[in-house]
Amino acid sequence: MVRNSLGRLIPETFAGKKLIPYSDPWSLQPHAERSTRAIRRIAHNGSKLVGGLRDAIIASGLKDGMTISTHHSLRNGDYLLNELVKEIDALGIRDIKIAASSVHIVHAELIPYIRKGTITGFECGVNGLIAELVSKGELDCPIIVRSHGGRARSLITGEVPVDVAFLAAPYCDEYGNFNGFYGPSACGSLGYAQVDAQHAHKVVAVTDNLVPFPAVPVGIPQSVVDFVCQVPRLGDPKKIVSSTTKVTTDPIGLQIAKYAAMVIEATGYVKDGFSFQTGTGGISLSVAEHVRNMMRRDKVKGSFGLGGITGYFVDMLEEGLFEALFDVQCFDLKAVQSIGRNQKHVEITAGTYANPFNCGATVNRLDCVILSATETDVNFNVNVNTESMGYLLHNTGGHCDAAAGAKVSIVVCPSIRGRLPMVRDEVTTISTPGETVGVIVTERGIAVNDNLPDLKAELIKRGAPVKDIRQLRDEIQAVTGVPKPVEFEDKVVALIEYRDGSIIDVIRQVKS
Amino acid sequence: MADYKLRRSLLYVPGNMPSMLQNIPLFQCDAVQIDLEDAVPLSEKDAARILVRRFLDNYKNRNKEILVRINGLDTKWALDDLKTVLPAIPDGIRLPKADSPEIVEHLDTMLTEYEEELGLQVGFFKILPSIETAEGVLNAPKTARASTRLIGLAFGAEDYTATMEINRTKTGEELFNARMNVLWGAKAAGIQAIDSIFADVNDMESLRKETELIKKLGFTGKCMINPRQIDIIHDVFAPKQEEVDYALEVIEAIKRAREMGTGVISLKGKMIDRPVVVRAARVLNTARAHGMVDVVINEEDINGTE
Repeated sequence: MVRNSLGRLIPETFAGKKLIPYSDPWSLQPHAERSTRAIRRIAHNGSKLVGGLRDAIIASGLKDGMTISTHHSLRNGDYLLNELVKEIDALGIRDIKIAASSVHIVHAELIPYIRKGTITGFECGVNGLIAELVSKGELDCPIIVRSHGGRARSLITGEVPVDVAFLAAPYCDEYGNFNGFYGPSACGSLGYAQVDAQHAHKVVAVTDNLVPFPAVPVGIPQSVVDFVCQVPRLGDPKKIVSSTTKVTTDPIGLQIAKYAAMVIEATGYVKDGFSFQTGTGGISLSVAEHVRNMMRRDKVKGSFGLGGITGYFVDMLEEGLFEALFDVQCFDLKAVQSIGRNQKHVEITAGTYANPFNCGATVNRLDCVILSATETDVNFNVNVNTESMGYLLHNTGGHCDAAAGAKVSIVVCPSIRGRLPMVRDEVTTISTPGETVGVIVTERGIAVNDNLPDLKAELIKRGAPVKDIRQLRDEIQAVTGVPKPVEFEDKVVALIEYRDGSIIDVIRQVKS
Repeated sequence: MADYKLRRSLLYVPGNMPSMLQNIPLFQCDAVQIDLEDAVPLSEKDAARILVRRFLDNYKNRNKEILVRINGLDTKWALDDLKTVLPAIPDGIRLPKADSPEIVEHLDTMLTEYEEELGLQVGFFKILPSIETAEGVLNAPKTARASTRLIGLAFGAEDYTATMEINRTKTGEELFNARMNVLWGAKAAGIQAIDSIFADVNDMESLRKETELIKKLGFTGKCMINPRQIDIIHDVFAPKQEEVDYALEVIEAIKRAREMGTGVISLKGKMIDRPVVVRAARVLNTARAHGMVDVVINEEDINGTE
């Protein structure tokens, strides 16, 4: 065990891999080439159509011990990963690692196959029951949680060699050109799948909507796709674009949003060229509404909106408030429809979005980002991975990537959830290091990181309720008291990997 | 003495909801009215009373005026309400169903007793009576003069329309005469007039219209049931820049007049005397709350020194 720079005890190895303890957000330098894969030449005029999923698995040459991937753009509507694992199991293949761009609650169906040894590890973040059971020690299956940028990096550097990528292809032709814009399982951007398409050793396009050649616009091209297979349905459209994309009506949430908007205004970045990212939660959308009103009022023409894209951003684009939207995933139907028809609504890969190891990710160009939190602490560290019982329940998503990239990252979080204080001495799990978090906004006040003294002074000048983070903690604890810490066993069941591949924290088994 | 305290926004908070009570310090309304009356079911009257007491005991750094709406004096809970909450020193009592001056006088007497018991100056606890029945409206001018503790008259349109057996509309024509009687009563007695709640928390446009209307009529504030309504109410009550500029000129002019030994002066051809100064002071106090000016207007500015 070694302590990383944030004081977290990190094992030297995990699931057979040697670990690098986190040191800081900026200094880790890669010394390697990009990952390679075999060059191939396929038979002239040969067919790529292989029948169903089972035929595709056989054709791909998948064997015991290999790693597969899928993308999560179908979110909780995804049928593919569950079906795929069933077929893999039926073929008697064992010891498969999953390196999806994310595993969702719907994938709890994989649990029997984990118990059986068909699936033996996750090279990606896992949401929901699987992660909870692993936290409880009831499921033995190592998990390495990666951010969106970190996952892209791990495929591009070859740290995670994906043997076969099975990519849901909502609009696909028989020669393997596909996009996510149209069809019964339309999901919009295929930003995550783009990385797999370029770096997996074998690529299978899986579609429920085979269209005559050519499927245009081409999102992922025929030149990287080995096989095309057909399934009856890729997913449940109702759950593919099901995110709650409504402005909150909760007075506390609205107050947080109002304060966050004050912060954005005080940064001085809301002028021509402004760039912005926000999530899909009710508070984030309320902040977006404030931002829209500010931009209208001051006649600002922003440069771009980034991230998971919602209808709110689409409206702002169409109103002329942004020059472009850079979209790594679409969160609602309006975004899906927009990306299919508007050239200013641009699909970007997860690597372009957030990989720290390239010539510059899009997050680096962000002025402000609104981020959520399940917990924060007096060092501005943020936890988005574990919940109050200490169970791993959520992925990092783009949280630490956008925080590191943006000039000002703004974390919005109610001060109290249930009866628990949300500004603590130490977060249970560090997902995003405090060094990259600019401001924490709660309904009880705004805490500004010492590394942004000018912003702090400006907010005070504007009469904003700026408080020292420790004062904020004390005020909250005066209401809630100090909760007893969750107790953990020594056993490490999952890693929280920082975007650069170093280990920022670990998840230990919760004491029962 | 005229009361210049800002009471643009008076938020009702149910006394039986800990999650809502704990947020009282956070909202930017001018006053809260913690409710032990209509918002609290009969089965929770005791529990709510104790909860409110505990909350107030722990709410040390008060950042807004705190009124407690007790149950009507004709109910069996009113005495216990007072006995339990007054030692936690709220600023005053919102008195429901203040149909006659006698009801207010009765409360006044009780409050004096508590003040003596608690070692507080007599008159410490304020009263904001609810004018919410036909009888209450008829008696409003007398009720407004029933006690020196009164900070204003509060019109309660929901109960009023119920006692009138009519429906409340969003445009409020049915409330016009009642509102005017409350206003005349309050203004004649030199106290504030506070308007009723607006019940549809999702209709911000109608809330704005109603607030604009009641401001125009002369109300100085409005009750509300959801913090989401605060911003609109404050926005409507915010003075216009030209009003603020004029008020500043008035104050300057009257100061000059006092230096010259007079209480009347001409400003741009208009006579400036005490009523004009009082109005200017009120505008500037509101402007201050909106962060538009820094000046603090005191009694001396308005009345001069003896």
